[in-house]
Amino acid sequence: MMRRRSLARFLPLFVLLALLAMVLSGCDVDTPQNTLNPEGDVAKKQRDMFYLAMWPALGIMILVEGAIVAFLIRFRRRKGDGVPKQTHGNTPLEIVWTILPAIFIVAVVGIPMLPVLFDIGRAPKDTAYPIIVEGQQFTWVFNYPEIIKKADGKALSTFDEIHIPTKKEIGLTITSIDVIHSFGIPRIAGTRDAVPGQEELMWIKVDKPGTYHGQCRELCGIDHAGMLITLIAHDQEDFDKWAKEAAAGVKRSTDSGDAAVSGGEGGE
Amino acid sequence: MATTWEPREQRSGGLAGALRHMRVVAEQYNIWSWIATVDHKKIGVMYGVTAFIFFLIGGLEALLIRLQLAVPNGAALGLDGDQYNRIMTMHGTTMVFMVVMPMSAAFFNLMVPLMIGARDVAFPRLNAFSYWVFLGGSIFMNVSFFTGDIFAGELGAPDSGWFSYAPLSSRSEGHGVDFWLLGLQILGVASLASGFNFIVTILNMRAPGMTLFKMPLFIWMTLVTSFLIIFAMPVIAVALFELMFDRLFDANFFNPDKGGAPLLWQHMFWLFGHPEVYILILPAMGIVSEVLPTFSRKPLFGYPFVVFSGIAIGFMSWGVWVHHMYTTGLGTVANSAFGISTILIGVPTGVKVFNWMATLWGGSISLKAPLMFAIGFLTMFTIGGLSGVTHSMVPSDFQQQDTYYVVAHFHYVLFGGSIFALFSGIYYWFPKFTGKLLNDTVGQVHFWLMFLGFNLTFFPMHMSGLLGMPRRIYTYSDNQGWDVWNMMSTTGAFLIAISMLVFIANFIISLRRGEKSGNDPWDGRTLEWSIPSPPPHYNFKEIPQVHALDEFWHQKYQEDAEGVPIPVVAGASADEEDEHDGHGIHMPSPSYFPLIAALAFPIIATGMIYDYALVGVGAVILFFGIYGWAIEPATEGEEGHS
Amino acid sequence: MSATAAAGHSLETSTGLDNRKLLMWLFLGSECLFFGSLIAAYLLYRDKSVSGPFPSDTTTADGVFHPGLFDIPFTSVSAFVLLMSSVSMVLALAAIQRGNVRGMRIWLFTTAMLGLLFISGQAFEFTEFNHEGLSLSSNLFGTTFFVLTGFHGAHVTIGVLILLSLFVWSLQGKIGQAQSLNIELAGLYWHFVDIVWIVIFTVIYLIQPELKL
Repeated sequence: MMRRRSLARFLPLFVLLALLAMVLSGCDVDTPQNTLNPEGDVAKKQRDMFYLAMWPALGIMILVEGAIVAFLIRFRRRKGDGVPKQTHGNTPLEIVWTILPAIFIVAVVGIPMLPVLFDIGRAPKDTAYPIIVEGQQFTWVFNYPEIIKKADGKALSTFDEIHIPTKKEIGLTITSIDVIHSFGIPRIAGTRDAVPGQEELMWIKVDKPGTYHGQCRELCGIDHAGMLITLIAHDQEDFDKWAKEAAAGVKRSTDSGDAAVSGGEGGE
Repeated sequence: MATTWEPREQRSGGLAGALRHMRVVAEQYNIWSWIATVDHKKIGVMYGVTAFIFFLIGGLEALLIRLQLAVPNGAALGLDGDQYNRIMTMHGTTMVFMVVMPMSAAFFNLMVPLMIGARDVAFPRLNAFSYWVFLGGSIFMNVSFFTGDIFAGELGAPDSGWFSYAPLSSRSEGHGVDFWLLGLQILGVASLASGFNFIVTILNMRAPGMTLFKMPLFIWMTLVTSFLIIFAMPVIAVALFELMFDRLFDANFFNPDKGGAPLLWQHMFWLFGHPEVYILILPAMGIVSEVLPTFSRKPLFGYPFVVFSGIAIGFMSWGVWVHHMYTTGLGTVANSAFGISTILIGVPTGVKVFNWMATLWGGSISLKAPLMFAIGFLTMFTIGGLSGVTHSMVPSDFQQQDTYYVVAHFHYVLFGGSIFALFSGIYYWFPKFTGKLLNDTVGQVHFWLMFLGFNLTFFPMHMSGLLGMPRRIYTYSDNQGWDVWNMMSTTGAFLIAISMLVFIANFIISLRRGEKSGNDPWDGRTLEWSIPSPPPHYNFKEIPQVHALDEFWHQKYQEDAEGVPIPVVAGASADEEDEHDGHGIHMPSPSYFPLIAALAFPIIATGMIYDYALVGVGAVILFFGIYGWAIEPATEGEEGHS
Repeated sequence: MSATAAAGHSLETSTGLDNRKLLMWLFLGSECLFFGSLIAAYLLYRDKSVSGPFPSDTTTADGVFHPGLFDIPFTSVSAFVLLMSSVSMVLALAAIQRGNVRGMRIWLFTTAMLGLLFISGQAFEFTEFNHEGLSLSSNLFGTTFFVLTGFHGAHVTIGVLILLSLFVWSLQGKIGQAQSLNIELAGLYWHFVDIVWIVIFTVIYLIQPELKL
C-alpha cells in the first residue's frame, strides 16, 4: 500500500513534465495561425512578450508543484505520528513573500510591456498605406482608398481577402456594420475588435511576402466559425501590378458583388 | 426529523383553508418539511442537490461541445452553428450561475451557522426564499431549450454566449436571449437575498467570544464573497434591464444607429463580471483553508495574512475589469493602467498559495479524499493563476484574447479551482450532515479519474489557443494543426464524465451503507465537529463560549509556548447521543410564503416574453406572498414585517 | 437569555445592531450601486443623442432649434414635495418612538400622500415629454431619462405601498411603541429614495453642460 501510494505521488510530476513537453512542441510549428511562429512585426513583439511571461511562469509552476508533491511525500502521516507543532505563521517571512513576488512580477511583466504596448497601440506612420476593414455577418470587406476603380471611380473593395505590400506599415481602420467582430491574423498581429459605431486604427507590417490566415475572433452569430481572413502580402512591385489589374477590373481577386470567390467560403 | 413550532393563529377563509389542506397532504408524504422548511441545513441540502443536477446538465452540454469539436469539420456530431451557439451559451451560463454559485451557497447554508455557533441564519425565511427563487430561475432558463421546434432541431435557448455581447444579443432573433436575461435577473434576486442574509448572520450572530479574528477562514471568505455579491449584482441587474429594454421596447442603450455604444454593455458586464469570478473562487479558497489544516493537523499558516489577502482581493477586484476588453480599442493608456492593476491582483492570490503550502509543511498529512481534492485545487489553481499572469502581459493578450488559451485559463481556475475545492468540501462535510463517511477508496478513484480527465481536457487548450484556435466556433478546418489537441480534450471530457458516475455511485451507496462517522471523524478544528452528526435541528444544545481561533481544537489540545500540543483530558466533543431533545429551544417556524413569493418571478418573466397579463398575475402572487410573509410571526409570536 | 435563532434584537447581536436594521443598511448600500449604474449611463450618454428632443435648448448642427423639455420650476416643486415627505417621515418616527400612535398615523399618511403627489407630478411630466416626442426609443436622452426616473418612480411607489401597509396595520393596532423599528426601517428606505432624487435632480436637471451638436 505504501509503495503504491508513494509512486502515485510522483504522478503529478510526470504529468507536469509531459505537459511541458506538449507546450514546447507548439513552438515553430508551421500551421496557418500559430502565434508562436510570427512573421509580422507586431506579432513578433507579441511573441517575445509572451515568452518573457511564459518562461518564469513555467519555472514557478514546476517549482511550486514540485514542492507541493515533495511536501506530501515528506510530511505524510505515518503510524504513531503525534500532533505536529502548531506553527501559526511567520510574519517577516510572509511580508517577504508578498513583497518580493510583487516586485518581481511588476519588473518582469509590468515594466517591459509598457513600451511595447505603446508601440503596438500607436497610430500608423504618416506614410502608412491605408485600408478600411469592415466586418459584417459573415464576411470581411476591405476598402482601398488609394486604389480607384476605372469602371466607376470608386475605391476598390475585396472580400475576405486583403492584399498588402510588404515592408511597409499598413494603417488598418477597423469597424463593423452590424455586430461586434474581431479582426486577427495571428502570424501578422494580434486581434482587434470591430465594433459598430467605432473606428479602431492599428498598424501592421510584414517583410516576407506570402499568404497568411486569420479568422473572426468574436462570436458574431451562426457562421462565426466561417468568417475567414486571407492576407496576401506582395513585394511592392507585385503589389503595384495587382493594384493596377484590380483597378482595371481584371478578375484576379474579388470585387464588390462577388462575395463567394477567393476564400470567402464559410466553415466546412 | 421532528419539527417543533408554535401554533399559528388560525386564519379563516377559502384560500387559507386550501393551503392548510395542501399542507396536510404534503406532510403525509414528508414533502412538507422540505417545501416549508426554513432550516439552513435542509436549505443547504436542497441547494447542493440542485446545483449538482445542473452540474450534470452543464456537463452534458460540455460533452456535446466536445463531441462536436472532436474532429475537424464537425464530422462527429454534425451540429450547425445555431445549435452549437445555443448549447455553448447554456453551458457557460449553467456552470457559472447554476452550479458554482449555488454550490457555494449550499456550503454557506450548511456551514455558516455551525461554524459560528449559531442556531440558524439571521433571516431563515429569506434563506428559503433565495433557494426557491434560484430553483425557479434555473428551471425558467432551461425551459428555453424547448421553446423552439425541438423535433426540427431548433433549440430555443439563448445563443449569444454566456456574456451576451451587444449588439449581437440585443438583435438576437427569437426569445432565447430574453430567457437568458430574465432568468439571470431572477437568479440575481436569489443571490442578493443570500448575500444580505449571510452578512447579517456573520456580523450579528457569532457565538459569544468569537471576535472577527477568531472566525474560521471559511466564514471570512463567505463574508467577503457576500459583500461582493451585494455590490456586483446590482450592476449586472442594470445591464440586464438595459438589454431587456433595448430588445423589448426599442430602447437605445446599445444601439449605434442612435449613438449608443455597444461597449457600454461590456463595461457594465465586466464591472460585475470580474468581482463575479472572485465570488466564484473565494468560497473555494475558504473550503480549502479549512481542509488543509485539518488534514495536516496544523493551523492555517498566517491566518491574518490570508484574511487580509481575501479582503484585498475583494477591493482590488473592482479595478481590473478592462482586462477582459483589451482588444476593444479603449486606448493604450487604459490598457496599460488595467494591465498593471491586473498584474497586482495576482499578488494576494499567489500569497495564499504560499500560505497553504506552509500549512502543509511540517504537518502530519493524511491523504484522504478531502485532502486529495484540496491538493487538486492547490495545484490546478496555481496553473490557472499563472496562465492568468501571462494574460496580464497585455501585448501578448492581443493574441490570446478570444482563443482557447483563455478557455484553458478559466477552466483551470474554475474547474481545477472551484469545482475541485467544492468536491473537497463535499467529502469533508458529508459525514457531518449524514452521520456516514463517503467511501475513501472510491473517493480516491473519483479523484484520480477526474484529475487525469481534467488535465487531459484542458491542458491541450493552451496549445490550440496559442496555435490560434478561436473560441466559440462550431467547427474548424483540418489544416490548422488543432486536430490532435481537440481529440485529447474530448477524450479527457469523457474521463471526467466517468469520474462523475463513480462519485454518484459513492454518494448513493455511502448514504445507505456508509461507515458511521461519529461527531468528529477528522479530528477537526472548528465548532461544527463538536456537535452530533447529523446535527439536531437546533444545532447547539448550548451556544458555545469561544476563547480562541480553532476553538474546538483548543478544547481538545493545548499548546505550550513553542506550539507543541498537549492533549486535554476528557474531550469536549459530545460524542454521546444527545439526551437533550431540544425542549425549550424555539426554532423559527416553517413557512410556505417564501415559496409562494418565489413562484411569482418565473411567472412575471414568462409574462414579459409572452403575455403581459401574466406579469399582472405574477405581481399579485408576489404581493400576496410578501404581505403574508410580513404579517406572519417569525417565531414566538413576534410581529412586524420581515 | 433567549435561545431563539432569529431574535435579532440589539442586545443579543454581536454588533449591537438589530438584524433588520443591518439588513436595511446593506440593502440601501446595494441600491447605491443600482442607481449609480443608471445615473452613470445617463451621464455617459448626455449630449450624445443624435436627434431631439433634448433636455435643454439646443441648436443642432443643421441649424434647427430644439426647445428644451425640462421645466425646472415645475420639477423643483415636485422635488420640494418629496423633501417635505421626508420631514413628515421623521415626524412619524418621532411620534411612535414617544408612544404616540395617533400622531404616527397622521404623519405616516401624510408621507404617503406627499409621495403620491410626487408620483403624480412625475406622471404629468412624463406625459408632457412624451407629447413632445420623447420616448424610450426616440433617442439616447429618452432611453436613459425614462429608465432612470422610471426606476426611481417605481421605488417611490413601492415605498408608498409600504407606508400605506404600515398605516393599515397601525389601524389594526399592530404597531405600538415596541414595534417602532418597523417605522424606522421604512423611514430609512424612504429617506434613501429621497436622497436619490436629490442626486438625480441636481445632476440631470440642474447641471446642464454646454451642448455642442
